[in-house]
Amino acid sequence: MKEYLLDIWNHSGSRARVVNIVVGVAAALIALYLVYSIFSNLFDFRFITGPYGSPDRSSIFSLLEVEASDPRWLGMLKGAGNTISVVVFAIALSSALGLCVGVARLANNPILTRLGKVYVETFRNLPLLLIMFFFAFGVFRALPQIQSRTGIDGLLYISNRGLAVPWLEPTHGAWWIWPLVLVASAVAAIWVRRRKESREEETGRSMRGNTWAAGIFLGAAAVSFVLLAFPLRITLPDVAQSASGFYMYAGGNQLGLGYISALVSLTLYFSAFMAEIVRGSIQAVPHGQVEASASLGLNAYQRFTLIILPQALRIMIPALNNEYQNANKDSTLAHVIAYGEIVLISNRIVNNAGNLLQTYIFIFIVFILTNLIISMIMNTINRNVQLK
Amino acid sequence: MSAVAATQTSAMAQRVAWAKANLFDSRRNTALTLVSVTVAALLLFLALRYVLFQANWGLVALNRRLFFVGSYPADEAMRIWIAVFLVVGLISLTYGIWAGRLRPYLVTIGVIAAVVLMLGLGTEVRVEQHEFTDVIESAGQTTTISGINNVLVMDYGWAPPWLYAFSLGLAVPFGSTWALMAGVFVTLAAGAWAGKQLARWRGNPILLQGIGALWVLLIPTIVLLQIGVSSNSWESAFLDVLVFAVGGFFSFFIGLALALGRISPYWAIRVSSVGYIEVVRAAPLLVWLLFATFLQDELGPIGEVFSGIDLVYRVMIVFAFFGGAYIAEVIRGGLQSVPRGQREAAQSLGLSAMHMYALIILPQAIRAVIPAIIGRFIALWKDTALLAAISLVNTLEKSKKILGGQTDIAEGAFFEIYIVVGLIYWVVSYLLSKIGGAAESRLGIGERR
Repeated sequence: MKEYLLDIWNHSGSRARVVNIVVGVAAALIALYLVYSIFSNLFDFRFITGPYGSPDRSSIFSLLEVEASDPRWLGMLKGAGNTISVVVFAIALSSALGLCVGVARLANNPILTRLGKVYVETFRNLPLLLIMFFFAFGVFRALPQIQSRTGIDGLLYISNRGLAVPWLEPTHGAWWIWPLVLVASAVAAIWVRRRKESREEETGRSMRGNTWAAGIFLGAAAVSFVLLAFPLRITLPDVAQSASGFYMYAGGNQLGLGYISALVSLTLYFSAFMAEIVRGSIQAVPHGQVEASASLGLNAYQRFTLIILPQALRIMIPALNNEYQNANKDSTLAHVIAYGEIVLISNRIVNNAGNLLQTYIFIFIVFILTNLIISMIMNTINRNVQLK
Repeated sequence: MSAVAATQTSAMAQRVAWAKANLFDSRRNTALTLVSVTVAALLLFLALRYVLFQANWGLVALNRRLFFVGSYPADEAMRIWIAVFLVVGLISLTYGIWAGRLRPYLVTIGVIAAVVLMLGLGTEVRVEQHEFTDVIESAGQTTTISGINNVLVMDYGWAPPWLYAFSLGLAVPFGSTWALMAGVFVTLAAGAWAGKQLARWRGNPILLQGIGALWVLLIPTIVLLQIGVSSNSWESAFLDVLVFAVGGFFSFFIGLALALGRISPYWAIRVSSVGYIEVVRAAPLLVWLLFATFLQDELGPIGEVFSGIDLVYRVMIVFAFFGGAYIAEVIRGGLQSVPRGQREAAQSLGLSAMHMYALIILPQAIRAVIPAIIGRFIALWKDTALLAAISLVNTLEKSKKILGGQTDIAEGAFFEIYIVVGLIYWVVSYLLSKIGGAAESRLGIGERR
């Protein structure tokens, strides 16, 4: 019997079958167990129609502010919207800052290079949560009170309640048509630019694709803005006093402490990583390219924008993709500083209703989807910058 | 005399020439130099003015113990010191054997030792209760208020306050802690020196195995730290280090197993490894930590058993399994970098699969990705800050508690507290990244031979 078992083990074909069956059955049992316990809980989905319970006003869009009477599923969707509204701006700002610092680290000037290095080493080696705490519980709490009207009077105020900035305000109910027109005209502009470019390649004559595209987009935007009877207007913030003597911001938009702290911390932290990516990718461009472009008589700016940056982008984008997904995931830390993003909203629901698995599976789905979207966008850009 | 002057002028001339060539070679670069010098000087001025004259480091000095060990029982503090001596000795010994020059290291240690040991001599910090009376005039009425204020009082020893400020409040007054700290610095120097003496046997496998065995000895030390001390009193930097050490140690082996599972010849193992790695990496660590905190009986008996474990151990498990999924991806990269010929050569020598991996493939694969693995460890160390989000009192949460609990003396002093807490996290990550850089150049990764 023992020899028979040894024979099975020593024969590679039957051993593979044994291992596959044992591991496969074990993995399938674990998966089934998880699915079973999830579904035995998940079956009860009634809790998502219940009211969310407490208002959350930390969002920067009035549309995404959670009301106490909102159903829980709407609260979670708004939380996801709040996550996205901090991640998008954080990614944009940290990329811009990271590009500047990364280029500064490669400048010919040794002092500028050192400054860049100090910046990167400082923020790269600190935990993101500490930077968030520092801003949320330190810097922004220590700002002056709202009465002092600190900032640029009539345009921008900063106080320990947050930052008041100029904002856009709809003038009538059908304002949302205008953004749709913008998207449509952008698509049309890109299509025209493509056509012009392919004509340019065929004929060799300059077709001014960029000018055409810009003209179409801006023209359509301006004409539709007038035709729609000026759907949006700018409102400026002001410090006002209510009848009971309570100071508050009127007009504009108030970006709360949680949002500002999260945005600033994410930007500082991830710009350090992006600066390193930018530096590495630019250094990876062969030096001969720089010399060749210099010998063609291009100046420093042309050398950088026309020769180095397009080639560095090819190396940069996969790494940036990774970092953007990290920024997306790390935005969850903002719930600790009371910004109403998805985890904060979900945790309140777990506390009230107690449906842990259902709510957390929703968080999972949100992150899988958002990371997929980031990945898809970056892969599209990647396809466009790769050598064809 | 004149010869010295001549060399001095030539050195001076060299410096001027260097500045001309690098800082003022064009109008644009001159502008850049002026702007960056201004920015750097301003930052330096503000930082020095703050550190030397504005900050109240007495607050840090008062809470020094809380930052490092929290509420670990004072009677048992000797255990932590033993662990510190072991770790410090091993690090310095390893550094001495494998790293390059001893002098810059000894100078750095000497400077830090001088700052920490000398500047605190004779200092004493205490909270005094001062009576106060205030007369408030409003709307024509005068009101007298009296009460007791808590005031932080710091007596400086021989060092004037501005000199003491260089220690950021971390300088130790004379006493048993001072003696132990002095011992730590002596160990740091002596260990590196001893390592230097052993360096000539660097190629000898017995030395490597010996040092490896000493490092493995640290595992019982971690157990020793925990026996009989309730996990509720593991706090501050001690908790961060503990979670990092245990989580990091196990995450390496989990990652290794998963990476090998990914390339296993059996499809069942491949599919489950890939599935595990992708599921774990899809969600942020914070979500996993919160899940582990909140989970009760939702996952049936497994959930009940899991939620019965102490929260600290649950967190260590999450760190190990979460870090493992990332390290698996790093090691997979290393496995892919091993040339195909190595595998074929091993097979043609008749090595079994286990021998092939243990002797031929894994040593090359892991060697290639040591810097990347250290990068993951840095991320894991910084992630220990997240414990503050799940009601565990790590260094970050302790700082919040100090700021919130000592409002009478800590009012508005968040800068001092966060600088010291940031320094604790920063120093460890910076040292780890230095080790990664040293490993990269030492192992010749990226160099062609």
